[in-house]
This record gives sequence, C-alpha cells and structure tokens, in this order.
Amino acid sequence: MPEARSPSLAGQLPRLMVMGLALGLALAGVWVALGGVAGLAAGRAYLTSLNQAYLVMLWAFIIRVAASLHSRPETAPAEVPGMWPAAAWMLGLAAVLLVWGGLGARRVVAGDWASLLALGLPMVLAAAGGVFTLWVLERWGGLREPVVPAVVFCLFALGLSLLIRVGAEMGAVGRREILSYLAWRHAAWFGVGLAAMAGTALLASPRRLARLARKKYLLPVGAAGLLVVTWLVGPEINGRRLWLVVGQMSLQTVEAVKLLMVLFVASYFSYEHPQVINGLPMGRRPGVLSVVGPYTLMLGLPLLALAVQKDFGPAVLIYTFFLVMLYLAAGSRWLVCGGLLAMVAAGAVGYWLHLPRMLHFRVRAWLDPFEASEHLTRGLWSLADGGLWGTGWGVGSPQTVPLSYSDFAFVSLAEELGFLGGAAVVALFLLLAWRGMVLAAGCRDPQDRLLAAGITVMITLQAVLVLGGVTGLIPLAGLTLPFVSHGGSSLVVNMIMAGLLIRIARDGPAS
Amino acid sequence: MALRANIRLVLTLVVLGLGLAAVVGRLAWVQVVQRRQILAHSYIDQETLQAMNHLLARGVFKPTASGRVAVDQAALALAVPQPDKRRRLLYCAARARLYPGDKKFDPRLLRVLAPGRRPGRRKVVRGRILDRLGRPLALSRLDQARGVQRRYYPLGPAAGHLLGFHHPVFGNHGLEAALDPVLTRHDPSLTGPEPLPGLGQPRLGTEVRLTIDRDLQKKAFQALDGRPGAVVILDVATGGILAAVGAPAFDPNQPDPAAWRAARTRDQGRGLRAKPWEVTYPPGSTFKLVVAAAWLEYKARTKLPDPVIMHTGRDPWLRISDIKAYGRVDLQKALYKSCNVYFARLGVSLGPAVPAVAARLGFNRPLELLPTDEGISLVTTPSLAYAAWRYRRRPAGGRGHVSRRLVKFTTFRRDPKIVAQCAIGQNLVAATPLQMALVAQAIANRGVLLLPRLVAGIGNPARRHGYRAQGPVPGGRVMSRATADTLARAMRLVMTRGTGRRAGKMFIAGRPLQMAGKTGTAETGRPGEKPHAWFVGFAPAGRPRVAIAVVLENGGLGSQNAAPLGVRLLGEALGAQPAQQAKKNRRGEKS
Repeated sequence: MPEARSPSLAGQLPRLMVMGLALGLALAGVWVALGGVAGLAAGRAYLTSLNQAYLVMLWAFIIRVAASLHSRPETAPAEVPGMWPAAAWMLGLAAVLLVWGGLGARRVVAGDWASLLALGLPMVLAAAGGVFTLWVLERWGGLREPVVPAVVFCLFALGLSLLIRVGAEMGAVGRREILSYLAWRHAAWFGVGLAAMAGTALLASPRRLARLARKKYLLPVGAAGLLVVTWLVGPEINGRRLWLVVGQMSLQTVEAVKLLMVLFVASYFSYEHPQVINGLPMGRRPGVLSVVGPYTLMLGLPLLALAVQKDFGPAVLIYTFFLVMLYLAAGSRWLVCGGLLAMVAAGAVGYWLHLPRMLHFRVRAWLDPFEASEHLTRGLWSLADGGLWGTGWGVGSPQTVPLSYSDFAFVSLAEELGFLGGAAVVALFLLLAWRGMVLAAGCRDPQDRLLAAGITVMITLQAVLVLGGVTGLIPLAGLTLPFVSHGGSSLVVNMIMAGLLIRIARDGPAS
Repeated sequence: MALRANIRLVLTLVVLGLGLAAVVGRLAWVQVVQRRQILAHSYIDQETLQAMNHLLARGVFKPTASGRVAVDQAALALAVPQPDKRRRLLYCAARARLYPGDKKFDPRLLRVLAPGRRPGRRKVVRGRILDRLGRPLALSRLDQARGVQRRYYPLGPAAGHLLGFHHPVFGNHGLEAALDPVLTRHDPSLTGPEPLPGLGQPRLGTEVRLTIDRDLQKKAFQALDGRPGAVVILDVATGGILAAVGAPAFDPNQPDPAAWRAARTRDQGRGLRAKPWEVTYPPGSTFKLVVAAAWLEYKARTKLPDPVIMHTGRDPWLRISDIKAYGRVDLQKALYKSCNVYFARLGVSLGPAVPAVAARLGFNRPLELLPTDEGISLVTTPSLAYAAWRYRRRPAGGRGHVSRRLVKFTTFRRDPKIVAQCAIGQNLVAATPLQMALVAQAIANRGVLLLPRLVAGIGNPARRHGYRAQGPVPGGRVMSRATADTLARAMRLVMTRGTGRRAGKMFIAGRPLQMAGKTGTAETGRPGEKPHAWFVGFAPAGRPRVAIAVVLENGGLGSQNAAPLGVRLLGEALGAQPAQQAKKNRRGEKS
C-alpha cells in the first residue's frame, strides 16, 4: 500500500505541491488554447496564443514528470509508466498541428487536410511505434520506469516536429530534395532505435551484462578498431573524418565508440579496479597490463579520435567522460580537476599553434562570433529573433541557419519556441540526468550503478557541450544533440542507452 | 539506497546541472537581455531592400534552385550606375536567399552583417597594385604604433581616375573597390617586412599587376596640365591599357577629411567618376571613322562606287554645314578635311548599318575591364551609338529609386535630320575616351578588335604556380582588313594634309615618326560653351604599336588643341622626342 510505506503526509507535501502546480499550469494552458481557438473562430491571428498555450503545456508536462523523479517502483506501484510518454506524444502531435497552421499561414504548404496528413504522418507513425514499444515492454519486460521514456519521447517529438517544419520549408522551395525527407528518414531511424531500445531492455539481463564484463577488453579494442577503420576508408566530409559509409547509410563511428566506452568503463571499474586497489585474494598482485592498460586505452582513445577526425568535439567528450567516471568510481577529485585543467591548457596551446586548425577556427569564432563566423552569427540572430515566447511553430526562419536540422537543431527550436522552449529542452535533459542518478543510486550492483551513471553522464555531457556550443557559451564542439538532432547512428545509440537505463531501473534494486 | 546517501552521484549531478544552468543563463542573455543588440548586427535598410526588390522584378536578380541569388552583372551595371551602391547591392545579394517563385526578398532571409564587418578580412595588409614593370601604383603602409594601414599612391592625382581609392573612413572606390576581393586575399608566398607588436607577422594581400605604364601615365597627366579632359592609350598588340588619365583629379593621398567629404558629396560625387571609361562625351568628327567603316563594309558587299559630291559648304535639307566649301569631295578627302555634309548624307543613306558596326566596336554595351573568372568585375559606362538613356523614377513622381534604360533609335526614315547629326557624332552619339581609343585600335589592328583590359597578372610572379597571367581578350573581327587599311591610309592623310597637319612632329633618332589620326570638334549642345576637342590616332602608321584617344572638355578646335597633345603623347609612348629637343640633342652630340 502506498500510504503505508510513504512516511507521512508532510513528507509527500512537496511532491503534491509540484503536481498541483503542473495541474494548474495545464489548466492555464487549456484556457489560453481555448482563447486562441476562439480567436481563430473570430478570424483573428491565433498562432501566438496557441503557441503560448503549447509552451505552458510543455512546462506543465515537465513539472509533472519532475514530480515522479524520486518515485520508486516498489513505493509507488500506482504510477502508470505509460501515461507520461503518451502525454509526450500528445505534445508532439500538437506541435505538428501548430507547424501546419504556421506554415499554412505563410503559404509554405497548402492549408488543407492533405498537407496536414503529409506533415503529420511521420509523427503519428512514430507515436504509434512508441506506444506499441511501451506496451511490449510493460507486457513482457516488466516496465516500471515512467521518467526516462517520457523524457526521451518528449525530446524526440520536439526534434521530429522541428524536422517536419524545416523539411517542409526546404521541400517547398525545392532546395535540396534530400532535406525534404528529413522527417521520414528520422522517423524510420526512430523505428530502428525503438527496436534497439526494446531489444536492449528485454535482453540485457544481469547475467548477460556479467558475461560482457568478462570480455570487456574487446570493447575498447573494438572501438579503437572502428576509429582506425574510419581513418583508413572513411570519406572526408567538411575536413573531418567522422563517417563510415556502408551502401546508402553513413554511420558516425564516434556514436558506437561512445556506447562501447560506457560499457567498458562500467565493467572495468566495478570488477578490475577494486582488485587493483585492494589486491587479489591470496595476496596475489594484479598484472601490469590490468593496471596500466585501461588507463592507456582511456587516454589513448580521445587522442586517437582527435588524430583521426581532426576534430576535437568527440575527443573532448570521451576524455571528460573518463574523468567524470574516474571520480564516480574512485573518488579522486584532484585528479579530475587536474585533468580538466590539462585539457583546457592543451586547448589553449593548440589554439596558439593552430593545431588542429578546426580548433583554432572554432575558438576564434567563439571569442568573436560577429567577426569570425557567419555560421554562429546566423545562429545568434536566430536565437535573438526568438525572444522570450518565440516566433511560434512554423513562423520563424530557422532554415536560414546552416545545419539547422542537425547540429543547430537547438537553435531552431529556441527560435520558434523562444527562451521558454529552449529552457524546456534544457530542463528535459536535467530531468534525464536527475532520474539517471536516482536510478544509479538505487542499484545494488556496482556495475549496474556505474552503467546507469555512465549513460547519464554521457548523454548529459554531450547535451551540455552541444547546447553551450550553439549558444556561444563554449567553443562549438560539432556533436549532435541527443534524441533531437537528425542523425541515424546517434539516435539508435542513444536509444540503446535509454533501453539499458530502463532495464537497470527494473533489475537494479532487486539484484 | 537514496540518492542523498551517495555523495559522488550528487556532486556529479550538481556539476552537470550547473552546466545546464549555464546554458539557460546564456540563453536568457542572448534571447532576452541582449536581444536588441544582437539583432542590431543584422543590417538591411529599407532603401536597399526596395532597390533589391525592384531589381528582382526587372530580372537583374534571379532565384536559383539552391537559394543563391544569380546576378546579371551587365544588367546591374546598366540599372545601377553608382559603383558604391552597386557594390552594396551585390554584397547583400550574396548573403540573401531567394527561391524559385519568390516575388520579393524576404527581409528575414536577408540577414546581412553590418557594413565593415566581414569575417576574417581584418589582418591582411592590402596587396599592392603594380604597373606593368612592377613599379608600385598603390601600396599600403602599416602604422607601427597603432597597427592600422594607410594606402599610399605614389602617382597621386595622376592615377586618381585610374585607381579610385581605398580609405579606412571614406571607403573604396573605382578600381580599388573592384579589385578588393583579390587585394585582401592573403598571399602566403609574400613575407612581410617586419612583425608588428601585438599583431604578429602581418599577412600580405595578393598583388595585382596592371597593364599600365607608370611613366606614360605620369606624362599624360602632365601633358593635360590641369585642363579638364581625359587620355587613354592602348597597346595595339595586346589590348592592354597603357595609360588612363583624367583631369582634374582628386588626390587620394589627401589627408584633409573636409576635402574627402567635399569630393564624395559635390555633384553627387561626379568628380570621382573615372573619366576614361565612366564619362561619355559626344565624339564629334572622330565618329566619322565608324561611319566610313560602315560604308566601306557596305560597299564591299554591293560593289557600289564611293559617292562623290559637289560641296557648297552646307546642306539646307539636313541642316548641316561646314566652315567652308571644299568643291569636289570623295571619301578620302571628306575624311581628311572632316567634311560634315558628306558624312551626314552618307549616314542618312546607310541608316541602321552605322549603329550595327558601332555595336561591333563596343558601343551600346558595358565593357568588362577585369578578368571575371577571378571573381572581380569593373564595367565601363556604355558608349551610345544611336541610342539614349531613358530615366524613370519609381514610384512615379515620388522620392524613390531612379532607374535608367537604354533606348535605341529606330526611326531612321522619319527623322533624317537626327540621323545626319548622329553620323557626324552628335545628338544620339556619345562615347567614352576608352571607346574611341578602341576604334583607333581596331583600325590599327587591321580590323580585329582586342577588348580592353587592365590586369596583366595576379599574384607573385616569383612563384611558379602562384601567378596567373591574363592574356589578350579577343573581340572578334569588326571590319574587313581592306576596310581597316583604307581607313588607316585616310588617317595618315589627315596627319599630312588634313586637319592634323599642324599638330607637330615627333622624331625617333632624327627620323620623323609617321602617325595616323583623326581630329574631332564636338558641340556640347549647351549654348555659349566651347566645343569638346578630340583626337584619336595610332603610331607608327606603318606598323602600329600604340593607339590613343584624347578629349579636352570645352577645349575648342580638335585640330588646334587635342591633336598636338595626342601627337606628343603618341611620341612619348614610343620614346620619340619633339622637334626642337631632337635638334638640340643632335647639336649636343656634334659639339
């Protein structure tokens, strides 16, 4: 019984207040939306108020999900895990409606039902796939996790709405044909990602993870092999080697490397590392390779990535991830701080030496975007155009920013949804990070704990690097925004990580 | 286990949360606090936007499938005569997006950086402009103390019309503006003189070598001696412009800001227009060469004999007169005596054949002076042959964009008086000095026109692949060889017994230099003004090497004022000396 296990009404009070706030916001959103629809009926401009209603509902959703942050399956079985993901899809469908309205008002698409169908079909299919996957997980996977799918689906729905919007704009003006199918491609990759997520959540049993941990050295070696293969056969696009082309698909190998690294670090620090610290039973000492080898790999991989790709974004991500995991597993605070300082110093030296060139260029662009980078300047104009409430779905002009569908997706969102929408995206990532840490804390097994924490750190760290980069807070790193940006390999890998989190949420407390 | 119990997880979460909070803070700064300041970096004024939409409606700007704006350079040059305005429009068009079917520029797709803020252009020291032998015509000097550069022009006003100027405050103008993309491109093969404090080793811009001869340019300017006018000297064999001089000229080394402001604003900056190719004058009798060429081409087709007239001094029907009666006049005599009545009648009988030949010689269209494959462009004002500008103000009657359009004369039968005036280079005929030099060059080249060019090469000739030499640009055969030779003979007679016989002589090693030419005296059409004096010609007459066009504004008779100047400069270009000096030298050798 929930009442029996919860400490008291006073203990529940903050959560109840948060839920009340969410309910109030939702009601306010409905009120504003009704006003907008009434204005529409009266023939007035409706997009502003409807978009404001959309933002209010988005925040109501976030606050309501935040109320479940600390919920534990055994303490709150009344929580329906599938409910908030379904609400995320409602937000996505509402976004498509608004996109249709906005683009129709600007005569980019025809304002009839056929165009609404053409715009909305990817979203409807993705929503159906998402709900179906959740049903499968509840039926066979024992799903007890409400927050992670809700946040992931909400981020994806926002990203897909953006792709629908940008793709329609580019298709309407006959720009690059491939871009007008952005949404369809993204939805198709989402299907693959859902299958991967469900498969991971169903199959990644503790036994299998333990078996994987025994063969853990294959993981970083495989990652290094992937990077080397990319180096040797990958095509150079925009001066960087990030892709491996297989037939029609191009895969970003860094994404796969990220997943392999998460698994390896969790395995190493949960099994081998305590032995290195405490010594083996019977007074034996561990071999040199098991002490030095992992650190060599950990430091070598970012350097390899740097050398292969001539780009510092992935290298910074992997390196910082290692440092954070080092702290989480071993608690060495000074080592981490020193490592970060060393990275910044190396970056400064690289900037002076123009090595790699990309670094110099990006740092200069960051120091003075209006002088050195038209790309960043366009991004900043786009952001500033948004203002507090945003221009509204389909009304802004995010397509003027290069890469508005992948690396600069957040800028496009923040233009159309304004500061409130941009902050909502950041809040969703914060929810994910928080929930991931809660899940990690709930695990008994150190490997599960490190795995959950590692996944959380990896996704959040990437989000911070990208968001800071496109808003001009730090030099641009050239990574995709997890779950939002267009990009197949990135989406699938992040969905696999989400699947692992879902599985760990079920197994962690029990095992 | 609760989250609170695991301090490492909490601390990591806090750090990640701080990162995300910093992003939110930055977002608030960009989107809410600094919003106006950031949007102010985007710069498109209403006037430019209107002009761009107007040009779009006229088809000067065209949308492409990729969203980039395609520009019809020649049409733009016709529609927008002011070079700085044109540059601004090109700058905006390069940054705008325009898709097929768009009827107007969307101002939101036209986010352009404010003027002067071009990424990555700052620290390149502007490249030098050199003459054909590598002597500098313009160079940038670095101010060590302040780290700024100043442009210095060794020739001063003598090259003012040729080069235009580059000034940190008053902007770019003329050739300097047109060459800007090349001059500001870093050339790694050039090493700077010395590293600057705070700036490091200065990066030097690409150098441009012109076809201009610095000495000749200077001599031509001195020969004008402050009289308003222009001189263009062409290399016959290559089409290169050896000298292009206009007077009076603004001194681009001028330090006084008031003088700069005055030059830019007086008469809407008209004084800064390059007289050699941006200002047109009625060509007067020099245009008779074109009429004669048209007749000779016509004659070769129809086998008709040259008309012979009895000249009484005036034609009452066409209202054309000469200063005196010449009696029996054939084509040759009509040319060397410069007989108006003869050519007026010839023009009336030839009709549209004259503008057709003129168009082949370069009239009625802007001519490109720079190699466009380098991404640079400088076009001349079109010379007019049987055509006029029609101006239109949009919106009609209001204060708006003024556009102009070339309207060709078609009513040859109905208006014979106008045709007659055109045939002697008045009324609907106007030519730049460069255009008349081209006529002389085509005749000297035995009928083959070489289009004018200013750039001999771009880059550093010391490097094997870093230098891109620019060869002659053929303009095709514009008249038959026989026609050109007949005209050349007639032009030779002009200098021996015609209007140019008193223009003086030049000597090379004691032997007189044979020259060919044609004088002209063009009425300005304004009462009480003296006529423009013209001279076009080439030398040596037998094997021509240089061609010239001289115009003196309100200079009086061409035979008395322009011709001596032209003869002297043709001689200077070939290393000849005037008579007294040559005699003096010979005497000096003897003694």
